[in-house]
Amino acid sequence: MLLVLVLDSRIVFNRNNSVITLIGSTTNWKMKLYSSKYNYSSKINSRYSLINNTLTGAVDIIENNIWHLVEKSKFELLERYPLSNLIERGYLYDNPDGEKRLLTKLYKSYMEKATSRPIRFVFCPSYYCNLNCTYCFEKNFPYYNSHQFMSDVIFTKSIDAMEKLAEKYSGRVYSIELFGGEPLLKRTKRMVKKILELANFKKTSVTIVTNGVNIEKLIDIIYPHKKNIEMIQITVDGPPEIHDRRRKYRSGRGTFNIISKGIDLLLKNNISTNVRINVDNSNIEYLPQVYKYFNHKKWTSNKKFKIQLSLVIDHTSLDYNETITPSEVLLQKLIRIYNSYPELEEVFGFHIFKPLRHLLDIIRGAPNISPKFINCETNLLELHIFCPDGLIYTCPESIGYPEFAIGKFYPDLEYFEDKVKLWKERTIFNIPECRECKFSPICGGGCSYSSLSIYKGDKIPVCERYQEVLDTFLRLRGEKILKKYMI
Amino acid sequence: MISLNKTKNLWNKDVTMKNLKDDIGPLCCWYWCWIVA
Repeated sequence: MLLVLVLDSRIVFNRNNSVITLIGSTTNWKMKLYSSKYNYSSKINSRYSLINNTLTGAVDIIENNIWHLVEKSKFELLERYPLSNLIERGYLYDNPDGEKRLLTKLYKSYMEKATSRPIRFVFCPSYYCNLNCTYCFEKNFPYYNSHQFMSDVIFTKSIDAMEKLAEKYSGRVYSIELFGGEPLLKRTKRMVKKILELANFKKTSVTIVTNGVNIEKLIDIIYPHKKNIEMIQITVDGPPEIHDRRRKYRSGRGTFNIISKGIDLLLKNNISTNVRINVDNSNIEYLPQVYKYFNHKKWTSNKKFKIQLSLVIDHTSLDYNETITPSEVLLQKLIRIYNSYPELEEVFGFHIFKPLRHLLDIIRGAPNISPKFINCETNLLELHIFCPDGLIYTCPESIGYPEFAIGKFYPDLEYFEDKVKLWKERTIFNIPECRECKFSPICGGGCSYSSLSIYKGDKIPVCERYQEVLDTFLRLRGEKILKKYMI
Repeated sequence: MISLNKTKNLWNKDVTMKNLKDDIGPLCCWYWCWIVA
């Protein structure tokens, strides 16, 4: 039987098995349809599925019986409307190379924008930290004892290097971050003061990532520059007894009270303070208690206060243990907490889970999301981290390990071209397995540092649990999404 | 079939590049997300 469907005033669909004949006003031609490589779907209930094309960013709710036909490539049984829509949104192609061409076009556009972003300069005045947190990834630096702090000459050279690189690449210094080790120490105070003065002179914003125990001791140098301070990030991992078990001094003494006082002091002085809660299997259930504490302190109603969850991940291993569990296990636990404390879902949401970000952005009203061709900023060498060993790193987790450095600023400024290549050339195009993966446009190939440290190679994907996390999320929150759009 | 996307034109590379945060938005780097978010 020949079926003729009118699509619009110019094109007519004429279908015969999986080959569809398009009849234009002046030309007739035959077209075979191809499913996209990047289709993801999850059944929400007995009637509907959520489908997503990870390349075009299309997210749709579709009837199960229709999607079933697509999955079985029974395109000839599809009605006109869903068929045209499925083609328009990138779930189906009329050309085997169409998707490849789109991928290349989007990549070009992405890289043009991505590479035009300015370098972010990060100073680690110290590898040393006064704490001994249970999950710290910086515990075993190979040259720890010989390069704990920046010497005067190293510090001066790091400033010179920033000036030279800024002049060469972006014309000015857009931002400075302080990181470590711990950047706010008695021994680093002089360097921190100089950096703050320099930022003030250059009208550059400063971000400080600190454990927060020395805020009171350094507030005298921070306060005068508060207008340049974008934010100070401090980690609080739970109510006192839980936090103190995880984030403690080298003596074993807990840090909760002193950090709490530090946050009070920053907020009293109107300095933007972002609290990060590092969550894993051993502390996630205490989220309601820690949030209750923040409320009790009235921090949550302070405009200068922000909170965000962050997953504790070990990028040097693929193994799970009692603390680090697969992401979907943590997601299930988080949803259980949110079911009992719905206000927490409003505050923290699900952005902590990378596999959900594209979907969440679209649900929140983003016009669209960009496919990702790389994993993170390190693949753009966007971060230049100056460390006490005179080396420049691009990944904050790789600092202290010279084999991952991208260059040096002491005695002279120089890039290590072979290392630069390792980070910069890692894209989903260069990783063979990513070419066949439906999640690659939203994943970007996984953590480069993991790939280098675990597999000793940069062309091996570090697959995160996209399928499992998305499936779990849509199993537990799919109906809620459906309700929002089906009214 | 109900679209959850605000825009229909997914093919326009300029539209595709848009993100809630900025042109590209934060990528993934574990502490960087926070800083540029």
